Amino acid sequence: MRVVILTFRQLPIVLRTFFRQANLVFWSFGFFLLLQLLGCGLLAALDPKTLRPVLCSAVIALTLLGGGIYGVSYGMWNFFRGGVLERYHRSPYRASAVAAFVLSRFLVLFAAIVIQLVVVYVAFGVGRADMGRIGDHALTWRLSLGPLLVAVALADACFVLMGLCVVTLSRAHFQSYLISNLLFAVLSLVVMLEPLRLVKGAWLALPSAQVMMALEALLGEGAGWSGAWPHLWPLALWCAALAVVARQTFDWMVLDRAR
Amino acid sequence: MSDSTCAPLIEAKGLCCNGLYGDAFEDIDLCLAPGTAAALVANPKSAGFLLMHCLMGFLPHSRGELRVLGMDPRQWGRDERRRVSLVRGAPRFPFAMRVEELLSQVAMLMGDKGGCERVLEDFGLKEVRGKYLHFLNAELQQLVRVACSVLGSPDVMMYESLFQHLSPARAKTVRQVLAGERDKGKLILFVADELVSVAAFCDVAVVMSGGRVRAADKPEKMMKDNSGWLTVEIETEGDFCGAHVEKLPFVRGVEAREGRFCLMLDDSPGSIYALMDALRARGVDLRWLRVNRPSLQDIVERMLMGEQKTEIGGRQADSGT
Repeated sequence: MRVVILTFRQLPIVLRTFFRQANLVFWSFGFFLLLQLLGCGLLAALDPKTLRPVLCSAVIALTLLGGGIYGVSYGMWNFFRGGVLERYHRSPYRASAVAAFVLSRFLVLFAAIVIQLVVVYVAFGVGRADMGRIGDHALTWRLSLGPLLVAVALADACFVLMGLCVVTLSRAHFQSYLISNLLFAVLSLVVMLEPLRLVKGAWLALPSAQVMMALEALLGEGAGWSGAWPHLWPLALWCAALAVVARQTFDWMVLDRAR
Repeated sequence: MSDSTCAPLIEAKGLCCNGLYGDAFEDIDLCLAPGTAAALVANPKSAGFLLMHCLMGFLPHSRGELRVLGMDPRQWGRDERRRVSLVRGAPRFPFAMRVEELLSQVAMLMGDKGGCERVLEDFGLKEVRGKYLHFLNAELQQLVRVACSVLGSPDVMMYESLFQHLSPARAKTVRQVLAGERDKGKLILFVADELVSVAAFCDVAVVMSGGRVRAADKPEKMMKDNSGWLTVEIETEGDFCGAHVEKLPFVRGVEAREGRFCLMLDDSPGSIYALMDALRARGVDLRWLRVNRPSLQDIVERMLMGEQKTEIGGRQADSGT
């Protein structure tokens, strides 16, 4: 209980330090919003309405992937490698320091996705059953908003935890990945996932695929809980598994850190 | 090693550990009681760091017994961990965080109400409380590190480098704060960067060389026991070589230092005049001569190097003389 209280008490400090880093904010989240606006803007000009939900889902999934993994792992790597975490090591409630950091990234990413959803809805009409009829808009969102937020929250948690695992599981291997820019990070991820091609359809089990399919169903077809459920429970399973792995493998310091 | 009769906070008997990078140590006996400030004067320093890692339970020892806070550090629980602080090297700070924010966060985690204000005052950090940690100079950053280690009033405080980057004035501030903590019964242990602070502040200096403890005693006692000699620095006109004087009965050693010569003489009446006479008899004119009492640095250097007389070549070392 004390850990939870301390986590929330540290949250304002951690959020403040995050928003002071303009570069990090832009490359973690702002960049994807621009990508969303650009992509949807181009499609809006061409007007193929059916493509917009697919594109939006892809960009939102990419935001979750990049913002979650890169945002958390990069920050945590710096903390870990530089010895910042050692400062909290002796505290009985040290878990709250990491929890506050992870929670802050979760909240920021969630807010960024909500902003993206609002932008694509308002600017490009994505998620409306029929872009010309007001009544149907409300109906579609009433059906989709709940599962949409749950899907985004689950995927958000999933990738944030994955970012934590990336650091703790194989520090040396990911060093170059973590200090490089986002595009390189995504390319590295694609290479790492290459073995999945050996098993047909295995990539569908990945959280990125699940969240894309869930968003497509919700934004494109206006499906409610029933349409989202087949993708929500795998995401929940991923979250639980990654939370266990992160908990088991997390390390507070590197002993051979250069002095 | 401490005169205190309290139960020791750190107790090691025949402790051995094999480091990864040739920094192993063996047969370390250590007994440090509460209210002690101890310095590890280690050569190489990495052996001192390794010993600290063992004391913290980060690394397993291969042989011997170790008890810190009355138990093996690898079995520490939450409460024991809270009672020990360690500053390893110069850990970085979270980016875009202010001094006050970091200190209040650490104080919050350690359950130290009012700790932030207290250390800001004690360490003279009030003026920079609103500054970003990354923009502080190395000295102020080191002060913040030490301030963080004091939060939560741990019983044992360990530092891999305590006085690094500190000006004499700031070092004095740190010594005063830590002396206050020591007087409250805390144990302070650090790997010494320089020995001025050790002589001024420590109750115990543990000299380690080649992975073994060569001496462990109070700095004053160490200096007293190893007194009886002086260092005399000389600069001469014309050629001078160590052979001119090293056979003299009161000369313990000769060493060339940056174009000058440093002689170690018996601290006996007349030894300096006898040296001057001997040089004059050999046709060597003195330009100047300076006599120093041996500092702790000199004594420790001699301990680490052994008692051998330093041999020098037959011609004056490269110098501006």
